[in-house]
Amino acid sequence: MFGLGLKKKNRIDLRDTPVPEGHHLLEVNDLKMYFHTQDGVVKAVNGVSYTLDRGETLGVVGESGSGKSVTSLTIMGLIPMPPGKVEGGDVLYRGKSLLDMSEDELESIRGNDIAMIFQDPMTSLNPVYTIGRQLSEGMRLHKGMSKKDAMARSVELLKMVGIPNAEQRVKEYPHEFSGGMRQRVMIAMALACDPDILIADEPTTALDVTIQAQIIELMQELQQKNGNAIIMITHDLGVVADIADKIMVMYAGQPVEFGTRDEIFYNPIHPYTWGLNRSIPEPAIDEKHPLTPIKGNPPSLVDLPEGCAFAPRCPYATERCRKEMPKVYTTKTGHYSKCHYSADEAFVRANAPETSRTKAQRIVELKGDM
Amino acid sequence: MIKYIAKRIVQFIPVFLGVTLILFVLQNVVPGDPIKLIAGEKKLDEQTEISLRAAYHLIETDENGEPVFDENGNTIETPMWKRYIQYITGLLHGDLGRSYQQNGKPVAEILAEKYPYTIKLALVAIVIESIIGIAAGMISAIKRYSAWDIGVTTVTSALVAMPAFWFGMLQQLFWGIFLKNVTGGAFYLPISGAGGPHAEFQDWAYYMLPALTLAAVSTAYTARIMRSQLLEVLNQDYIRTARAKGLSRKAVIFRHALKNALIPVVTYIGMDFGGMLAGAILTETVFNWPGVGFETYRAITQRDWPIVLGSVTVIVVVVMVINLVVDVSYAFLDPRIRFDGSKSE
Repeated sequence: MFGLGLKKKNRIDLRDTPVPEGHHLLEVNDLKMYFHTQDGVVKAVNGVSYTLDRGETLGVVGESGSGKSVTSLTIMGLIPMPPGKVEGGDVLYRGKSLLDMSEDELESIRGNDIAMIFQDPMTSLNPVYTIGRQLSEGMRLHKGMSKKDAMARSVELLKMVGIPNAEQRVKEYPHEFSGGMRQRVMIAMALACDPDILIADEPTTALDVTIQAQIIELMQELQQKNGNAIIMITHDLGVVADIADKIMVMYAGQPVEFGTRDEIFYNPIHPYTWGLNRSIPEPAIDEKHPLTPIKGNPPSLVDLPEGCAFAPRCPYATERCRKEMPKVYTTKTGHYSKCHYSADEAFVRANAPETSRTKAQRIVELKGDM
Repeated sequence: MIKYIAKRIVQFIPVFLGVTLILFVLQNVVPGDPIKLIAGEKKLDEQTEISLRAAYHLIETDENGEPVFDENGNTIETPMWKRYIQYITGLLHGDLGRSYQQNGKPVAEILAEKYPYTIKLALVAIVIESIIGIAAGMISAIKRYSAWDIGVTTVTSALVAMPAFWFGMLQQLFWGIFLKNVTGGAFYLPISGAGGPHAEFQDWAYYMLPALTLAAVSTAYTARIMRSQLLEVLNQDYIRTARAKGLSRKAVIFRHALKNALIPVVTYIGMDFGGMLAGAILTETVFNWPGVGFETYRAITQRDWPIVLGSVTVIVVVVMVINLVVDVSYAFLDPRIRFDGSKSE
């Protein structure tokens, strides 16, 4: 009675159009997404910019409420508007603006070109339909597959994500799967139409550590095979250290630092990134070097400080930081930071935490002494 | 599944015995002698009175139904426990006893005459309730805070607060009297009775007002449950997952949200249907509808206890069966329900 909407008039097919000259696969330019609520305007995403190419992995890190998920949901067009409203900026996919697209056009992109894995596998599957039916849905919609073909492909997908006895499992319901299994199903679902861009919103947060590693490996394997781009949203620096090519550090809805993995881990230039670095547990030298947390809490997104959003918690904050919003400082390599003092090499050298590399050296020396 | 149904049917037995026992005792403790009731103003001669008491199993009789006398030549009153056993034995043979009035017509026969009217009315009402209730609830949820939503919420609040008999009388006033006066008798609806070969209207017209009245409160509840359930379901993570797959809003609502939201609504409608089959005493009385509800009301006011007892007994069975059907239908809507006694998660 209610079809999938296969006969949609405004389907667009961007997948096979090459990325236009001078553009990237995905470009986010100064994106601003505000929520208009009764308490005021929540500036959930406030000037996010990055680019992403095929085969690349972008890690987005930050505390809860820093705007990581909202950025991705905005790209997907899944933010309910109102209360949400795009207040500025643009998102270009293969040179075409996603924000200007009609709902019909977006529907042909969603799940097909850009797919998303959600955070909570326990609640992200519909309890009343079988796994196979939920997996098939996207393929029937986007690829026009028959019920039978889509079901056969669903079995393949389940096998691919390592679910044993897939022929049988495909007929089962979500409640018959464990959390790790359901997350695999979510991944299979996101990969069903071989998306160009896979957005993974904390895909391993709900899972135990052994499963986490398996899921991440799986995503990497599939990326190597399909050449898709991945946006990995997480608050776990360990995860991004493993797989990200580029890392964006977000704070209070803004990117505070963006660079390659090496730049963020070995040569960070923003005090917030330093703080994150210092709070990574260091098993080898635990007792002598307790973790240094970043004191305080993130600011309310309704009532942001006048100057730098991080100033109230920053140990190096000056009067200037509290009064004046810092401009973006970009290095030659495209590494950027939103701090008044990032350009000051002496300041960075004096205050940056020792990087993993120097740390590793010291550990070796330390162990040598014992 | 079959094991579960069998278990539920076995559970009917104690409920059934309990309800009939309570009613039987109540019937016997209320003051008044049924035989005097039957006689009314007339004085019965002793012979007739004794044969009546024998016929209603109030005194001990022999195998031929002739009264037994003690050594003083008096009749022997049958103890209550013995009469209860006789009643239950009768029930198992389809004998619900005989009315104290209506020339001692068997209760089963009276109920068999009345039940079709109640069933037909309940069916019409449940169709109205399902269609209007579910549709109104859905529109209300999908167009939340719109004029539609405000309209549905206001009307349902008013209907829920209105007693059925008063709403019925208002309808009679409007459709039957006001409309008749305004249109000069050209258009109006019958306000009582159930039609028949010599009736003024065609049969369907007689269903309109009682069915609307009977369905009113339940329709309002159905709409409210549907609205809140759909709103809740639309906020679930799996709805976002479906949207992220590229499904349109309409496909998401009809394919993913509706089935989940309907589970509690179906329960409510099913239970409500059971209630309607029990006979809507208020509605049937207001509209002189010749169903079991009206008959029960009449029997209560005239102390015709066998009819009260008989109709309640039938109602108990009907409600228990409907509830079982509702419970079993769960399994078709919600795969998490399994009849090994637990809801797995």
